[in-house]
Amino acid sequence: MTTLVTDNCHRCRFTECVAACPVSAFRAGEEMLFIDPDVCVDCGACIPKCPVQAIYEDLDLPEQLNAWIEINARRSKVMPKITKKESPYAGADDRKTSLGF
Amino acid sequence: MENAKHFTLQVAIIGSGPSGFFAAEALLNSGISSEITILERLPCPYGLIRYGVAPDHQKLKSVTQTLDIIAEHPSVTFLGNVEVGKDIQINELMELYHIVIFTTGMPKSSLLEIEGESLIGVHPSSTFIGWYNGHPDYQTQPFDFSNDSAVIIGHGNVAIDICRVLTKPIDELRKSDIPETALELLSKSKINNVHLVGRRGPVQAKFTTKELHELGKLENCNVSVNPKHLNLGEACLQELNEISNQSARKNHGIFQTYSNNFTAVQNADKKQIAIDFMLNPKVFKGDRKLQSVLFEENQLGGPAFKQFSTPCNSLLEIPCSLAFTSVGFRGTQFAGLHTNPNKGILSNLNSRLINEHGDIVYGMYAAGWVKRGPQGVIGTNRECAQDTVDRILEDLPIFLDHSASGKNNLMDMLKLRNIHFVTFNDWKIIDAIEVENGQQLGKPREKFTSVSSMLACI
Repeated sequence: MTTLVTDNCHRCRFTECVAACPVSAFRAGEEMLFIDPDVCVDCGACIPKCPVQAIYEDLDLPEQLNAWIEINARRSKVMPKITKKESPYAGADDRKTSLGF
Repeated sequence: MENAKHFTLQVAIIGSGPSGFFAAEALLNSGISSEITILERLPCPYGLIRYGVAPDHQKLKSVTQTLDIIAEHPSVTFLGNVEVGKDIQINELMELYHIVIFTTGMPKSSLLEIEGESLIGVHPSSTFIGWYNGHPDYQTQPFDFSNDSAVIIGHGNVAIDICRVLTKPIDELRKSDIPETALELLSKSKINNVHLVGRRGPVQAKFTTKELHELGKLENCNVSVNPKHLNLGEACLQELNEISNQSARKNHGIFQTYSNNFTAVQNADKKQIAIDFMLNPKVFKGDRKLQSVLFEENQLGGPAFKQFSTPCNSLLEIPCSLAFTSVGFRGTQFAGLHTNPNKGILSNLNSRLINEHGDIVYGMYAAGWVKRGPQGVIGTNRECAQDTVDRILEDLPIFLDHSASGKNNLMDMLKLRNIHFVTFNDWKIIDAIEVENGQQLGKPREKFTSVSSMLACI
């Protein structure tokens, strides 16, 4: 069981998820967030917080997004912790609209 | 704010569940100098993480490691075995501290308030959850597993947890931290049929996808849904297709796979779990002891997201000797503070508590379930506690001119009253013994299930 961030986060980074993480499992990539699977306890609090539905549990991950399991595991190990909500990217709202949310 | 430079905010937090710790964390990260005392009625910390999270969800319980880091911060003092309202009064705390934050959760189950609810065999979910988690208040509950069927009323994760504990193979449960006394009783269980009953339909069920999915993974169980309930009306379809309603869509997919089990030849070796919809409990029937639950079939009416259930004059009786009601929780009431009678929360204006006259009581705040009701998962309370602390920071100028002595005077008062308070270091001794006792049994820990046995360790 793993919880992970997928490409809808790319150039959005709304970071609402970070405030709801009880164990500081989020890592700040340059253009998106990742979850460290060794820290996350799969409580699921972040999933409904994401305005662009970028966060999934592996049990219901669409097949075309499978690669993101490995990407989260790898990138989360080299990126810094993020524990507080930050401002989203400029243009995040436009991207949100273009994603259909 | 000139005074703020030399000012230390003295804060008492009542309740050491996740919300209490997350409120402390938010204060520590706020940049304001603060000294925090976390008061807990029991000798042990962690609230619902220890006594609510299901014992077979040990990964989730590992959140305690994060809470330990907060507890061991030099500005945080944990005092267990101190009951506010009995050992120390709220007005006394208000003299010792600038701020009191209530993170007392929702320890009591809501009642259905229908006929027969006091029959032997009908239990509010909180008593069963407390019992199998080793909570000292719930160790004398007489649960009778000697018959075939059980009914669980309510469609949230608590209901699924109860269902799993009732049906999971005993050898699996032995790997959890269910106390040996409870395991002994569960090992003799004859329960083979469990009905998970909800008043509304599959789209309105409050299960999280993960918990619903996990139920279907029980190899010894056949989980079924009557496919007729998945033929949705227009308003339900509208709810399901609403873009933000992602969890309902995911759940619907799982219900569809469970509906394939409905007509399958029932394997007699497997336990049967039926997820039943659109049934309103009317009467718990029996003479002293529960024999069946009588339901009235419902139908939904009204527009999407505002649908209400109305009876359709058709009755259904499910025979059972054991029933659990899991239809919500209520918080503890405190004298002088207003409780919302419908929600069971402490009435508050953006986390600020109010008195019986509707006025803000300066210095008193709430966070977690007692502030917003029993929704969300552990992490939801971190965000909620941050919100409470943001309000405290807004109000800070009110408190700058007040002096407050904090924990030292409190501990002196408690000693004078012969209250045997438990420090975090004391708890670590209890914890180490529980873990050691568990190792001998091949489980994460063997909990002490009485206050006296915990206190005897230190």
